[in-house]
Amino acid sequence: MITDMRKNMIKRIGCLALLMSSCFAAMAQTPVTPASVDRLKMESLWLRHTNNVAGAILDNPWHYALTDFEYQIEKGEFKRVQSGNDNNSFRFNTEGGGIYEALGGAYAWGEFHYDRSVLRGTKFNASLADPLRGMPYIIADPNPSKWINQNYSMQVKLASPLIWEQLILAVGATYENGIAAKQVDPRPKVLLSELSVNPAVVWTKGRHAVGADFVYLSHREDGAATNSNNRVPQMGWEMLFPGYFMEGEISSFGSITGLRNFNANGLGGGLQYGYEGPKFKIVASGKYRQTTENVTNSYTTPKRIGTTNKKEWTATAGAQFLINDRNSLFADYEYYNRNIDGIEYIQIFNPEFEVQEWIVYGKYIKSNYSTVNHNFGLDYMIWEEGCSDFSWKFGVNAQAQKLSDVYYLPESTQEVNNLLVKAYVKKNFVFGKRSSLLLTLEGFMNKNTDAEHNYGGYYESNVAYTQFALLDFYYLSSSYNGFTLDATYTISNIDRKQRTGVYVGASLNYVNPMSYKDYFDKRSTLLVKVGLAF
Amino acid sequence: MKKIILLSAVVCLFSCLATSCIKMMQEANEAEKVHMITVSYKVNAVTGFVPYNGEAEPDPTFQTKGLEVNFINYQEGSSFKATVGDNNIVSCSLTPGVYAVNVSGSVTSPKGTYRLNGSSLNVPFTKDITPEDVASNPEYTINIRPAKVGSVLFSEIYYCGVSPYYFRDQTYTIYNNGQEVFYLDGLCFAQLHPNIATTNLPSWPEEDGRENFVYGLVVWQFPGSGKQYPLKPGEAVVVAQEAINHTVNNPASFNNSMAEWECWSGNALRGNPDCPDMPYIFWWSPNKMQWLTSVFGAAFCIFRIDDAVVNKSYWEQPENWQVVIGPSSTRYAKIPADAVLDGVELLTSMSALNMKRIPGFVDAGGTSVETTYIGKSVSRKVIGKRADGTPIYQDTNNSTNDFQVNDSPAIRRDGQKIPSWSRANAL
Repeated sequence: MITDMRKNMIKRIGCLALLMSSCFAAMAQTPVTPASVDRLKMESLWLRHTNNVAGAILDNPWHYALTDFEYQIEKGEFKRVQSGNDNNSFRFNTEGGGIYEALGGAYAWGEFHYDRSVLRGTKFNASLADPLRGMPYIIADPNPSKWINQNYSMQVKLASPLIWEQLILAVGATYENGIAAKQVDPRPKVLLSELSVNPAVVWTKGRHAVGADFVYLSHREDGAATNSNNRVPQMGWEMLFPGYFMEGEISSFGSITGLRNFNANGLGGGLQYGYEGPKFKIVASGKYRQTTENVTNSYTTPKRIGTTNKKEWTATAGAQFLINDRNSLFADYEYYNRNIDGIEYIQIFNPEFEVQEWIVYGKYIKSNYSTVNHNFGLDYMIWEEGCSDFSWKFGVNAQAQKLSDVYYLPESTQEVNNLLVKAYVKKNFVFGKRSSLLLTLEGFMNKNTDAEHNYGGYYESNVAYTQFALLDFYYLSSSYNGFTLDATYTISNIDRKQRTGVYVGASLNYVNPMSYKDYFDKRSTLLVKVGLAF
Repeated sequence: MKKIILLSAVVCLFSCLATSCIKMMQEANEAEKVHMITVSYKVNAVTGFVPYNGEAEPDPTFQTKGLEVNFINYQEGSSFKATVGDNNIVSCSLTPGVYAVNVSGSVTSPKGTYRLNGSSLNVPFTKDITPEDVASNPEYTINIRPAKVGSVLFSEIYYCGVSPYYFRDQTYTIYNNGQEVFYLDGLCFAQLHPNIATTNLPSWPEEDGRENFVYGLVVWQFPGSGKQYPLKPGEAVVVAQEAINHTVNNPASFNNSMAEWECWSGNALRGNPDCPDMPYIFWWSPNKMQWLTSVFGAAFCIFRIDDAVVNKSYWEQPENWQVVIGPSSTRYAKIPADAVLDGVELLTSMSALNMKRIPGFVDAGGTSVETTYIGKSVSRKVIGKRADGTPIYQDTNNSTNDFQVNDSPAIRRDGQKIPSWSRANAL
């Protein structure tokens, strides 16, 4: 019943998003191609660097809409342990919006994504649709497993026109709904939903603007790992931290009950400043978000398995230098700090008939996961005068990342420092008035600059340590290089009103590990897509 | 007006969400970083009734100083050892958590050798506990019951059944590990409650005190008038759910038709008419199909109440049965702690040790074949042999240490002998 309601809701919201995309497309004034949308997003500094939807009015984006189908094949062993090694995905994406004159210059934008993925060869996850999202309190099993995941996500951004020539009010919202089913015992069917609401305001005076936004997030996810064949015992682990766990049999009679119920709430906000001159514009923002997620193992008599308390700080600055009418230089920097405390509980079940619940006697921060990123990028864009797309685009990007994880007692630490450098070139070949070919070549290299792993736990020879925690450390501390080659061919004005274009594209990504070659092999991803731009 | 109501509703909803969200975050922010704590615990040897609040007078004839205490955190897989010091107090530095406190050791006195084993399960340690705290609070006391090292014990239990779903071959072997003849007449053999290991332990009324009893689901009694069934050192008797050649029904099973007794519950279509029935003297809600104990692992004990005539009418007296607090009227046999001669806790798997259900004085540990219907049994480890070749088994009252897992069950393993009066001699 609930599933039917959920499907109906998804259909309605999906139709609404599609309708919005179509409406906005009808208002588009310029031919839309993937290259022109790329340029539009590059020049929309408020939308690119902040969560403040009201800033869209200052970016003043023109209308566009893209709708495409994608099919992706991903193979290779260079992966996180919990990821698949032979994956297929089918996706449907649509997005569109812009300044909407019928609303007096208000901004409206929407997107909808559907993703159906088949993952093969995943390990050590019997709880989560996405085991890499920063939640350690899961049930892990050693069986190489196939997962079939379906995900629907949608987002809406609405901003008022300038009120009294200096105030903009806006709201953004996202909704995500997914189902993920493991196909090997112990097999959970995980249901998830996520909702976020993001009201925002911008006050502008002359060339200056300041803004503020607030965000509320709710994430729910639950699934129970059960066995279709009860005659084969399924051993697993109640994970607390990589290398720290309780081993047991996953069954209703076993020491590990298969259910995990995740309930997260987040609050946050940000402040922004923007300046726009004739040749230069800049947006700087700082934001903070705290997300607390409780994990329990029962709906009726919940035992607190753990809590994560995530605090994220982000500082961003992005600038555009308009060198002349055909050239622009973009520079951006982002500092990101994520700190997750892992809280464990000391609790006893009170079996008295009138009580029958888990009593919490104490709670302690037992672990911490820290991520600090510095990201710096430079992009140079060249376009033909009077065109909405670009002809050339070059860029370099460097990201220094520091991962520090600790389990306090008995102490284990892990620290990984990586420097990832990317360089790309994009060339948009235009053939006549109707067709164009966008070629992208990107090369990247990750250099591990430092890595240290000290294990002080009790299970040094257990596979949940050697094949999970340790192997994951090897992956995270690997140096690697690779490239991405992307080609998208577009034919514009295929309809009578000359507003619609069709595009087809293909992309190949290849990653080659340069360390721990005994454990990892290359990984490649091929993606093909076909879509409409209007 | 409608707009105002709608707006108000949205604001109220948002306020509620934000309030619950902030409360959840505040609770998380209140958590402190973990650090080592030092806890103290008092270890008393008691021989009398222990009231519900745990305040019992220690028996001065049994000193606990020098006993080893093991603080085990099953969730983390950690354990910390310490030794009982002056004033019967043990102190240990450990990480906060839920612990099982296990005491083990033995003393020899002119009356004989006594095991001083005991355990407190599910003890939450969250802060430092000083010896002064212990002196003023009986909550931090573990009362262990000296148990005379007995001669008769479970030497092998086959409980898990065999594929496909065959469970009629459950078999129990009781052995004389001592130096003197033991008379089985009147010995009681009980299946304890709860039937399956669980963290959801039953609550018993306060009047029963703390760990003064174990509670039987079913109690069987060896027949005999007093000295009819002697069990000499090195001899064993076999008790079966159904004593037949089970390989006829299931080739993967085994033949236990030579068992001395059968625990027959009244099913005329089952059983071996040539094998004597062992009568049950307590079973609140008998299953007339068969006496099936959990293939996941039940808990058993053998006991003898010396100062009472134990028969069916004994268990009908209100002071000798108990019900769990709650709506259930199911009665359980109250078996006095000092009457227990041996006990074994069988677990779903060894990782379920945190789900132990019977007190440490019956079995300080637990054992398991790990899964169901695999045709394996558990039996005691041999630590020596008598001159006649019969085994001497390990008996530390901790089945985690004392038992091993066998690939298949055996009748009178390790050279155990058949009693002279046994029907097995004629088969």
